[in-house]
Amino acid sequence: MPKLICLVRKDLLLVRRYLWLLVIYAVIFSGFIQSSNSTLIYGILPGMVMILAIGSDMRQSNQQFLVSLPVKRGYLVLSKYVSSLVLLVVAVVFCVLVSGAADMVHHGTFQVDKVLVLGTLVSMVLFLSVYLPLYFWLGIKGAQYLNVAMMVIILGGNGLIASLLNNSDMAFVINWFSGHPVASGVFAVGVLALAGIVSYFISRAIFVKRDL
Amino acid sequence: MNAIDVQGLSKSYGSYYNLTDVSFSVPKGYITGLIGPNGAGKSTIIKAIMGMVVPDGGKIEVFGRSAGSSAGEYKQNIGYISDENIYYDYLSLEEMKRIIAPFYSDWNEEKFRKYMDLFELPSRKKIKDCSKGMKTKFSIAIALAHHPSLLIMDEPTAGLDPVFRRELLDLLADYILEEANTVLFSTHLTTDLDRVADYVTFINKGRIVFTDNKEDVLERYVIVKGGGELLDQDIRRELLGLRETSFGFEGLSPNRAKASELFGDKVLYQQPTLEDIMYFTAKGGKLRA
Repeated sequence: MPKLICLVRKDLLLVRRYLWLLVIYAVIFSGFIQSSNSTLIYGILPGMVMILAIGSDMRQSNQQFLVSLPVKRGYLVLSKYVSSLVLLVVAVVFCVLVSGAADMVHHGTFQVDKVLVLGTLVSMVLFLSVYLPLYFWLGIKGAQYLNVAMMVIILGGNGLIASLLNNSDMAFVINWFSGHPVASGVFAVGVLALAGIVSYFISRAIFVKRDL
Repeated sequence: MNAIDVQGLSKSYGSYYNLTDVSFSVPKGYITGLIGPNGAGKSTIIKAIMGMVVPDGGKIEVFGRSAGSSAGEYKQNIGYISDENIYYDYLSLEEMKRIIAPFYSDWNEEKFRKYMDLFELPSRKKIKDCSKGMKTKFSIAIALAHHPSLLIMDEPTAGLDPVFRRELLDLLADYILEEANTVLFSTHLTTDLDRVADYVTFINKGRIVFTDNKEDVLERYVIVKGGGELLDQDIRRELLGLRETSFGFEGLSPNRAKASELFGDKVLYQQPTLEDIMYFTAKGGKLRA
């Protein structure tokens, strides 16, 4: 089995223990119990999943274990990005399904707020690009404070991006992007890829020099 | 051929805790003990070999391949046993094994089960609920299940009961029967090494004191016991460690031949153990009882 897949599999196995917490959260804030809580579910859940996945081997002893494996440190860093992206997609799909199911119950229709989904994906990838270098830089003690700060940013930032996308002043920009879907897609993917690549190289440079 | 070559390794953690120009080899096919008092730098050396600590300078090779924090594949041949639990303590032994096994191309499930049965380890028990001995046994089962040709053990016997310590040493003796296998064993419990080690590397305050065949070391060093009137400045300089009492002195000489030349039959000579050598060297000339 390729090493990267082994590492991603490891992250998925580790995050499995939080599954019940995420399901309870999703049910409470999905709209089954309360109405119109899309920011609370789209805004928080994917970020929560990513932070849990990244933090699952935050302890120094666990990082020693990872480094004792026959894997380069660069791969360990890369695997965190891949695991986070995989879990981000899974979490967003889960949010769509849970919100859709709540809509079905209340309104009899299955609706997907594409702008919100897109906003979540974009903001989460950008969030990841900032979070991971800080995580590798600060280590366990700093990361505890970082997690609290980042949860606040996820809640605020994600809502901000979603409201920006819905703002009338942004209509021109959104219309342009809507009118040029291919160019918009290439632009968005390019920006996100660039952010991810720069972030990865920074994280790798930090982690390769870290004493464990 | 050497299993491990360490050349000019240095690492600074501030003024008190440094490794300075550490060079030694671990010969292939033998058990080498890395000894030294607590804080001497044993764990740092092992961590540098495993790529956990990034040295300030120097070079490490494992089976002729460059080792360290930027390499990874060389660890396929290494079974690593840490002095502390490095596994996810909220997982069960079986879950932990499922995470580790796919990383090793030579993983042998049958062998793993054999050691789990031998050590009477319950697969479904959470690591956090295991005793120190069980965690060490699990580390050994994991380390041996992927057929490593090099076993690196960092203080594996610390905190273990004497029964399991003996069993572990027997296990090492079995492991080393296969000619290609090598063991690097760090400890401050030198009685373990008296039993099994072929070579000894002694480190003190971040510097190598000696690295040699154990029998040669034990033959070369000698404890000298005699009357206080024999001590003068020249004699004091010749002794690595000196313990003075109201009845006389006891000191360690690193050169048996020279000690005989200096003292003749005016003193008693005693064969030191590795612990004696470590004790006198670490304490230097500061001992007074």
